[in-house]
Amino acid sequence: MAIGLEHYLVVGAVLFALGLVCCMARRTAIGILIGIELILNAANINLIAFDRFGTGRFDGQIFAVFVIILAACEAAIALAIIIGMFMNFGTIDTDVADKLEG
Amino acid sequence: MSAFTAQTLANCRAIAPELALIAALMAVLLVDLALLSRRSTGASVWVAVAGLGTAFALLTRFQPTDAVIFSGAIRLDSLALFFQKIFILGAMAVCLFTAANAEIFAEYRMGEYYALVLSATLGAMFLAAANDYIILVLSLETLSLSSYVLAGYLRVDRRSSEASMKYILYGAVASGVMLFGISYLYGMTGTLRIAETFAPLRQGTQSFTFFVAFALLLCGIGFKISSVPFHNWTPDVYEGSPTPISAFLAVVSKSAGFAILLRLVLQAGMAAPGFDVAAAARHLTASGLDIVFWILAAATMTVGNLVAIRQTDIKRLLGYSSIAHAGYLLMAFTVMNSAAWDAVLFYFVVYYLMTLGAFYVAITLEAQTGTTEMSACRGMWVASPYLVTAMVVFLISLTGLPPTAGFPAKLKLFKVLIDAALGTGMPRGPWFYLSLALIGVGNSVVSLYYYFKIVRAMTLERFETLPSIRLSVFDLAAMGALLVAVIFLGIYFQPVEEFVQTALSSLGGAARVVGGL
Amino acid sequence: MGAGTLASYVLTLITFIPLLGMAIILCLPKTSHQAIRGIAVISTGIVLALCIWLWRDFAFNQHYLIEATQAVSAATPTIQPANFCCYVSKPWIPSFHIYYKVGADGLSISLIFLTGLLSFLAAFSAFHIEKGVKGFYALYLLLVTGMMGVFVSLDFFLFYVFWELMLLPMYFLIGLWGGPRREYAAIKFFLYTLVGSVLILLAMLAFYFKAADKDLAFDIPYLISSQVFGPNSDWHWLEKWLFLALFIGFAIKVPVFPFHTWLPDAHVEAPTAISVILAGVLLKMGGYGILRLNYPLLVSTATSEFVIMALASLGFVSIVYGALCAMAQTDFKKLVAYSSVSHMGYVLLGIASLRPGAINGAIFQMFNHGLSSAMMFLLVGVLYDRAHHRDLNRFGGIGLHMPKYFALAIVGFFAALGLPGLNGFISEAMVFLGSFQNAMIRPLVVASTLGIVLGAGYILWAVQRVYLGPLKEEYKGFPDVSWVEAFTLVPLAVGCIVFGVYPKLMLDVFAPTTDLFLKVLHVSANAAATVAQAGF
Repeated sequence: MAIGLEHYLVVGAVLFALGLVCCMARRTAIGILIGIELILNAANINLIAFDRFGTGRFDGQIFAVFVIILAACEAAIALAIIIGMFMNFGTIDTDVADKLEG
Repeated sequence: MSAFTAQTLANCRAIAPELALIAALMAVLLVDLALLSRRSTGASVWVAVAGLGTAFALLTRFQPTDAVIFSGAIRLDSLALFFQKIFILGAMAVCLFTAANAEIFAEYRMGEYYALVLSATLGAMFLAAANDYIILVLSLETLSLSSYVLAGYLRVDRRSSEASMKYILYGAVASGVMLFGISYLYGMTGTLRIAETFAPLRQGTQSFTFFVAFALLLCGIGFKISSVPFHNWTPDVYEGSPTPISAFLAVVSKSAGFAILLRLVLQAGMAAPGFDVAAAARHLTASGLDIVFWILAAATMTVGNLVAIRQTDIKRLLGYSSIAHAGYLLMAFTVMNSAAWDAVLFYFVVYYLMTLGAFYVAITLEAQTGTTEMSACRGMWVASPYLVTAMVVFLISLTGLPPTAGFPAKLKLFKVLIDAALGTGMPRGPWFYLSLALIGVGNSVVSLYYYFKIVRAMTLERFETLPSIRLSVFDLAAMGALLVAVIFLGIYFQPVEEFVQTALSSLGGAARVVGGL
Repeated sequence: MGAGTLASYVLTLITFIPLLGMAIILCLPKTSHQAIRGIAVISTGIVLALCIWLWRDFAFNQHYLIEATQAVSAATPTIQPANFCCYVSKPWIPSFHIYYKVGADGLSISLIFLTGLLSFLAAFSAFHIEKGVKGFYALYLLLVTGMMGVFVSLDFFLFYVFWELMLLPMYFLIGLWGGPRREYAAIKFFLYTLVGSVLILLAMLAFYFKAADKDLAFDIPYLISSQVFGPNSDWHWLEKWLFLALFIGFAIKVPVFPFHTWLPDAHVEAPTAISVILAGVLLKMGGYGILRLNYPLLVSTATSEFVIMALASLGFVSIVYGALCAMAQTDFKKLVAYSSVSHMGYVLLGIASLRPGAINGAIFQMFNHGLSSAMMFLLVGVLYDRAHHRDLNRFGGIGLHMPKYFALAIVGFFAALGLPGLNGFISEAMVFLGSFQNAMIRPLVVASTLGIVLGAGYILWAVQRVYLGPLKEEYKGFPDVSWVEAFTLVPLAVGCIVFGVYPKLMLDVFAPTTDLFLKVLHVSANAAATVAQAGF
């Protein structure tokens, strides 16, 4: 069986769903960050697959490269913020941070 | 010089304002590095403001050309110029507000702060001109990532730290979901040009997947404009962030979200060289998008207003109020004609003035009393009548009552709905629009109640100790300027109208005539 | 300055001189109380002088009357700018078709005069306020500008701006200088009125949209003459909704029975001077709005049987309910507040009947109620300043102890009661006689006369409890009315007597306006009947 576009899309969709569930179910900030990475990579798989099986003009792949850079930036900043939170609250459990509510 | 080089140079000239900002950004960092002492704070704000000023001067030089540059990645039309101008002015105000109330940041070095404000503004500027999804995503992330850091700038403050963590987690999920949606749009049409991805809509060949993808895209933007159901982060982040940054998020970041939403909607009916407003409305309405906007608008303003009633912190209350204002603006998106866009842009000009004003009062309170709780404002009427008068006028304007600028702004939004209800050839029945107008009107009344909770705390409630407030010359001047602007534009709003008319010039010939009430 | 020149500026001056006074007061130092009071009195005094000039000019200069009559006798009577004296039209915001249009006819002149008189007198009655004098008079003068603006505007947008402009100063005047529950009363007043005004706003936008001539789309005379939501319009179905929106907006201000609950709170908490303005002028704005906008703009709904019945019923309920509530009060000020609800019910009843005598009576009743209710609030204020309470059952025997005060009080309360020879009698009689001619609402009119009996009941009972009987020990030290108090009360008492003996003085001013008003309503109503017969 040849591996076609659908297979990639299914992988992408599954990855997206897992990422979303991960974001919602996890309580630690790192867990949510992992979920976000899954979502971004799901988008990347889609982009590359659509490019490869579609027009093949490489714009999708270029986009994917940008998304990878972006994910790296986002992770770096998120980790810095999470470290800051750990220093303030002594934990990275998002339920503990409840100074703000109304 | 090869043709390619020449073209690239020409393109670079077209983005001269953005380049000026990049230069200023680097200069701020270098100045900060060079002056490894406290003195750098004073220097970096001036470098930042000078950079913003240069960018603004370069912008006003431009004639809107509808130029598509960098092989179609960026589209510089009058709409983009309009938003870029107000972004720069908003960012400049935020920089100056910060410098004038340095007490909030007493422990911190400010070089990176201004650099981040500049980079966020840079992101917003490119976002307003985005013509393809790569630029859209990159500029949105430039804006967002800078904002995440700025929200947590007071890094030993628990609330600031929490705000920034909530902001980045919500924000990153929203942008991830948006990216996933974009990947499908790309897959269906094989292009990353925003306008071309709407081809199925124009040809009437849109599939269910198209709508899902479009909805995912809207999630990301809904987060930015804090529309229900993506609004949860707003009050927390506004409350926890340093107040100048809350102001930045309320004006620049939110209007950037609306800029791209407006562009997406208009691109749906894209026809070279300008936008075809009517076609866009036709295609989107045929797919029921106006119903989606109806629901979003009604829910957003109602939730924002109702939850605001219970708030006791001024910053948090302003956060909910900014959600409500997003709802008012979304009302115009159910109609989607030139008059609607006219009203939206008009509203933004006024929204900037009154929101910056209200936040400036909050900034002063935070800098001088250390808190923005309403109970801390008791007796403010005696301590500083000037500050209270200014706040009352800004709040009246936010409610939308004459004789302040908020009145014509809100009037125009309601006018759009009433016109749609009574007009001929509208896709939905009159009650579709009238009911939304009535919901909006009801919400305005509710909003008066909670805005006046602040007024009541400041003027009517009894107090034991007089709050100590000393307004500097800059405080007086900044509040005075915004106060005069809000009242003057409430009595004579012709100038705003003309400013908005030029912004609408690339919406095609019809738009220019439509203006007015 | 010749009379002709003054005529073109007088309304603008009347409206904006208080604003100028406010600007001067804001520049004065906080502690110079006398100067601030002086500016307030001078600016309202100039306004009063101009109001008297305007009234005299209008009443005795037949020029306007002739024009108004000509318009009435024309084949298709309508309201035109020519029917308004001192008419001024200047572009304000051209791209929005907003004009600065002011003008006055008989209806507005009587109320402008009332406003000028009461704002001058109330400025005196607030002399005893020592807390935040600067803020008080600055807001007070802003309020006067707002009130005058409402009565002179002939541009719907301008009208709305002034209408809203009054809210804010009123909020602070009640909220900062009021009684113990002032915060609650202030926000309640503000929210009620705002609900009403946003409804007016929506209606205004509907008219703007449907106006055929966009350049006149906020022009009130044009909107009246064009009747865009009339029976021939595709949008006729909307007319009843617009009527409802405008009516609720104005009825809250009047206040008509189910919308009245803000009034007792606001009155009880407000300082005396503000109660005077509230009862004397603000309530009249509701009646003014109904006569100026609500009826003439939406003729076919206004003249429909349902509306006549519904409004007359509301008037009846207001009269009786207000009187019954007044009777149940032990707080003197609350009694007077509820009596306002009752007295304004006559206005609504008179308007609803659509008979010339009744409408003249309704306008006159607004004017008279302005005098008598203002006087009653001042009288209660005099007592409250001495006793520091307003409990009716704790007073007694004050009449003989303070004879000057008692004499003035008798005039004020008996004018409100409707004693022949005083002004209230004339207008109430006119309302009853006029509306009795409308067979449809005759039973309601007959039932409403109950209001007179109840009115006599609560006023006489109150007079008895406060002024008659043995003098209580605690009130023995009370001085009689001071010069300032007498100065505020005497002109009103004189007014009550003069307009009771010689009502023609005021009736002549607005009678032609009433004629025109009715012609405008009836012509369109006849047209509606013709259309109905033709089978539409």
